[in-house]
Amino acid sequence: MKRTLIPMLAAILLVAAGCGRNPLYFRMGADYYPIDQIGSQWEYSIAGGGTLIVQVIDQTERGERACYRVLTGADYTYWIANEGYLEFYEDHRVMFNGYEVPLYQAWVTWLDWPLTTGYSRTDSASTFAVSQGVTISHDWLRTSTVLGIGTSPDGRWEQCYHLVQDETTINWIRTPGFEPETTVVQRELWLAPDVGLVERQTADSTLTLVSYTQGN
Amino acid sequence: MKLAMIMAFSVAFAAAAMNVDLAVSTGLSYPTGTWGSSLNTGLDAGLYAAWMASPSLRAGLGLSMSVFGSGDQGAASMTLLKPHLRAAYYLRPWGRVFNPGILCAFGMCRSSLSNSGGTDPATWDPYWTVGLRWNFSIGGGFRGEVGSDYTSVMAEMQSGDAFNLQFGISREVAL
Repeated sequence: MKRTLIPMLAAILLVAAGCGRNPLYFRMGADYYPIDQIGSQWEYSIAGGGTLIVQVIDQTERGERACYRVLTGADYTYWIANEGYLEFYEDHRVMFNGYEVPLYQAWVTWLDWPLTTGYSRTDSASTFAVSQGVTISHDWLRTSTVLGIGTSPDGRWEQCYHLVQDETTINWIRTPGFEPETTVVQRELWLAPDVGLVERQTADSTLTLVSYTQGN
Repeated sequence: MKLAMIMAFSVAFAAAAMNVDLAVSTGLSYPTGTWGSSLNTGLDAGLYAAWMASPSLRAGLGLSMSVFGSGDQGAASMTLLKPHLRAAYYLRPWGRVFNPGILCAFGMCRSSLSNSGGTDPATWDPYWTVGLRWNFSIGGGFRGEVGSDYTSVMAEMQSGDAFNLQFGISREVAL
């Protein structure tokens, strides 16, 4: 039996040695968007000059749900961190004749965990609002795709998920003289384990994480 | 495929002219630690063949598999495939209703994760298991077994640990 077991063990180890190892369990255990600790702060440098501070301010209520309020520059955003997925409060508005018209407010899953290479998620909404007797239609589509696992562009963070987000918004004021207004944004994001967003690139801006302070 | 052929030939060779305990088992797997925070309780199943060196002591080979799904609204699934060597020692092998035992196993674990159309690169890592068993006769030459295991996949940077509940049926065969 011993004469059989030793070659058997060697065979298993040989077969296994030919296959790759990677820290899959580490990635699964990491928080790639740690938005649920009040006081957490991310400081980003903006290519071309400037700084952006993102800070988890407190817990509040939005859309009848408890959530975390995050100050991003001068704007607030709202997030819910669940065990299996991350939700973002979409708040789409347009300015029409000097009035701000709310078009779409809803909690939408931003990402669901765990991320994997090739992961893809699409969310969309098609709605309209009436303001001053005029109908404004709103179509929104966002696709998030994980391109791969790697090091962040600045080389500081390993085991990052590299995502690309394509977001298309079409607002159309349905009255003579107005045409559909289409906005297309593509973002590349790098999310680092237990840190979150470490780099964001769009056509007109690049944010790079300078420092991260974990909250309570 | 290659691995399965190696195991099949090895089991056949090892089983020549000896008493062999053949077993199947199924069970539930509960991840411990943060790696399983977005996964549900897993299902576990395995096939085992063990040479009976004595009525109490047996050693052999096994192939087990665990499958986990998303803990919430997601579409994630994780599959673990574990070829291994195992040894068990039973305290009262003649006992009809109470034959407690301990077992340990060591092998390799192939872990693969998929979610929403994506798949992370699979990883092969060493893994070990220790467990307790309550073995009993269920008639017709078969024996039943219940028990619990603690298993750990020794992956890079962080291990993947789980607690398993096991239910099995076995039969001793003289070859």
